[in-house]
Amino acid sequence: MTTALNQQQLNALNQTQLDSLEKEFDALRDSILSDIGEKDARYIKGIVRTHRGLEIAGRVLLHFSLTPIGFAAGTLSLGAAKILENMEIGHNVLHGQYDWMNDDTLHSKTYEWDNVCDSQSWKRTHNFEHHTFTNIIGKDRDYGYALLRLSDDTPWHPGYTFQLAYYGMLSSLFEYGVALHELETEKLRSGEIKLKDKIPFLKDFAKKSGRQIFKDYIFFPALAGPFALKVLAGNALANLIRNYWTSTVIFCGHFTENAQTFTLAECENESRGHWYYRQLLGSSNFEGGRWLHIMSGHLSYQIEHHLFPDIPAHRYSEMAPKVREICERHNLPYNTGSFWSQYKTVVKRIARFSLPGKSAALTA
Amino acid sequence: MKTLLSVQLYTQIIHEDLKMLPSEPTSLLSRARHSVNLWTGTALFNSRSSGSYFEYVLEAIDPMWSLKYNKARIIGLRPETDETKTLILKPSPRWSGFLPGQHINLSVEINGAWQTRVFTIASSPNRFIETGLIELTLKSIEGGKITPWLHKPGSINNVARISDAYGDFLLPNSHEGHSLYLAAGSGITPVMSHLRELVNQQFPYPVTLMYYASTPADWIFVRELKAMSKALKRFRLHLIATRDSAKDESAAGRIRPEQLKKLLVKPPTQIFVCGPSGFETKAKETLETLELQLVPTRSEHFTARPRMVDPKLGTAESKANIQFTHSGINIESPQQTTLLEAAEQNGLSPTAGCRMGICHTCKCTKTAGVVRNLRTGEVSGPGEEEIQLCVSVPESDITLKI
Repeated sequence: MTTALNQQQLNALNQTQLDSLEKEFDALRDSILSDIGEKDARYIKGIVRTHRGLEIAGRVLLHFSLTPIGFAAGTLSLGAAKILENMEIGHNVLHGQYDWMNDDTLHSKTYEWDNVCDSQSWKRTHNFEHHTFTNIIGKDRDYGYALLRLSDDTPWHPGYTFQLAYYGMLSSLFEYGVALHELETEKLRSGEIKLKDKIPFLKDFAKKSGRQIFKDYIFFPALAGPFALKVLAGNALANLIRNYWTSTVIFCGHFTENAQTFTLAECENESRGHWYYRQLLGSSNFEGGRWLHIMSGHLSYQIEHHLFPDIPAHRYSEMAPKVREICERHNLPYNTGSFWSQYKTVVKRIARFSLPGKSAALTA
Repeated sequence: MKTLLSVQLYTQIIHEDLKMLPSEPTSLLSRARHSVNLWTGTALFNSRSSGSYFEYVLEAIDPMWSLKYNKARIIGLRPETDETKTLILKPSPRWSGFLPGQHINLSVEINGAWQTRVFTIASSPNRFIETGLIELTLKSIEGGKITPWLHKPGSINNVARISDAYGDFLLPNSHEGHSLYLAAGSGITPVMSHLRELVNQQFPYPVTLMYYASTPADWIFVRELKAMSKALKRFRLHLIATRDSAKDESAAGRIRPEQLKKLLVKPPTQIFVCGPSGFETKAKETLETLELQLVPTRSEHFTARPRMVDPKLGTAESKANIQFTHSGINIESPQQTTLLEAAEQNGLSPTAGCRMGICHTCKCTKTAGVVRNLRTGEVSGPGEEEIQLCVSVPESDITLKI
């Protein structure tokens, strides 16, 4: 396991080194961009078809199943469909990874995903805020979701004692957490902004979440007539499966033990080289098979995703060895591990910072 | 003469009572179908229509199947002149047909990306009814993305997406009088659709065509036109080579009043002009000199890059600040660069289609700032409105929702 870098080491990279980092990452980006084309279109269309198949199969099974096995299969199929749609299609399309296809079915401007979060709101909080200010405490509102204390940059208060339980709740309702992210409850509480300012956002939220609730909890259950409750339960479970999985993937991406945080002062007027450097240190990967990557929307390659957020995500696997090689040459950490080992450090981090103390040492 | 192709420029000078457009089919059934499609799409599939949800599934079964698009298979390619070829398309049964002189947006998937351009249908509706085929005659534009690709035999068997036919370069609905056509270069294509339809009707009224091209080798459809004029005496044909005056002394050279006067037997009651912008201007001037201009004058311009730069637009050095709010990008861009180009040069890829201001694919919301529309010359208001990125240049600092 890599060791945490302290502040001195962090500043140790001088401008020349940052410039060369910038050049190398830009060159890698250009080499992949010039190769983007039919292959990528074929890939994402295949994923879309798989999603349609899983969703239709899931809904049909839930509708007609008479045995617990059929019910379970339907739930899993629908859950898998939702995961695939949110992660590999929705998240990536909304990043504009497939805008070059010029196809409004998969264009970031028009795409709407199977999630209570309105895609326009997502693009503001995620694509802009999170990806621009990654892991800058106080700027990246994804860092702990204004709910969890994940570094000693945030002062402790007794409320954080039970944050493992908050984390569990956030995970099970993750899509609502994401959907209401733009509400900026922490700023509402502090009085920095007023609820009135958020009315347009709340309208969009009500519209989108209402549509999702109608679909999963009214329309499809009602279609099953006397079996409405069974379909409703299956849909709820499928949403829950998706929420747990997406939350887990996201947490593994930025909140592992050695993922770095930054202060605003460090990042003022930062060069593109420093931006790359920050993305690199603030993200962590996990390893696994082809389908683990696909079901994670390739956010298992969180490092590559943060370096190149608008490159079709299925390309990250071929970029990873090159990124790793660049890191080694510049003596920079490349935070990766198996899925379980990375997840363990996430839970450990949440547990560790639920308690007071300024020590950065996370004991194994 | 600089000809910008796939970019015909149409001018139409018509009688006041001439009906311009077919009325939109607004049957109750089609409206109901549209509403259901929209409702199921948004409520159940998170798409603008349920067709989006099923598009790639249906496409995999049969590329001609779609609930969303009109599809058309490219079934053949026929050489016309050195630079032009005719593309033969078979549209899916869903496509609603066209009137002579109309055009379509044709989108083809080239290396995974959909590219859209506007092309005029050169064949007649009658041929479409009989064979189910339509023909587009197009010139290959050097360095172009679409036309050189379409000209290669590899384009055959590809399935394109086509729009409904549109455009108001239509035949008069009265059979009285005498039509004059002034066509130049590939501006002949909508005229050809008219003529082919008129042949089918045995020319119910007299028609004169004056067709200008640089050299005789550049006359498209020349054999068919000659055969037409031989067989049907109500059709008078004048082929004019603007760079080859030896051929026919009376008709030679560019369009000018004496030439028109000499060739016109009697004054026309309606005049159609179709050609590149230089020709259109010249033709209009000529008609004015001969006091042949009929009111009202309706013109439709299709212009494309390289666009005319308005001298009022400031110099190449003057720059505007453009803010792309959704992407969080803020740039300085020359005032003569379109907003679409500015966005693309900064790594954004807004949806775009024709890049000449007619397909409206690149429409996007401007929240602040004044833009000038290069196509219409119109200057926008300073507030929020939908603009077409590909033909808008900044007149002030701009904020865009991209």
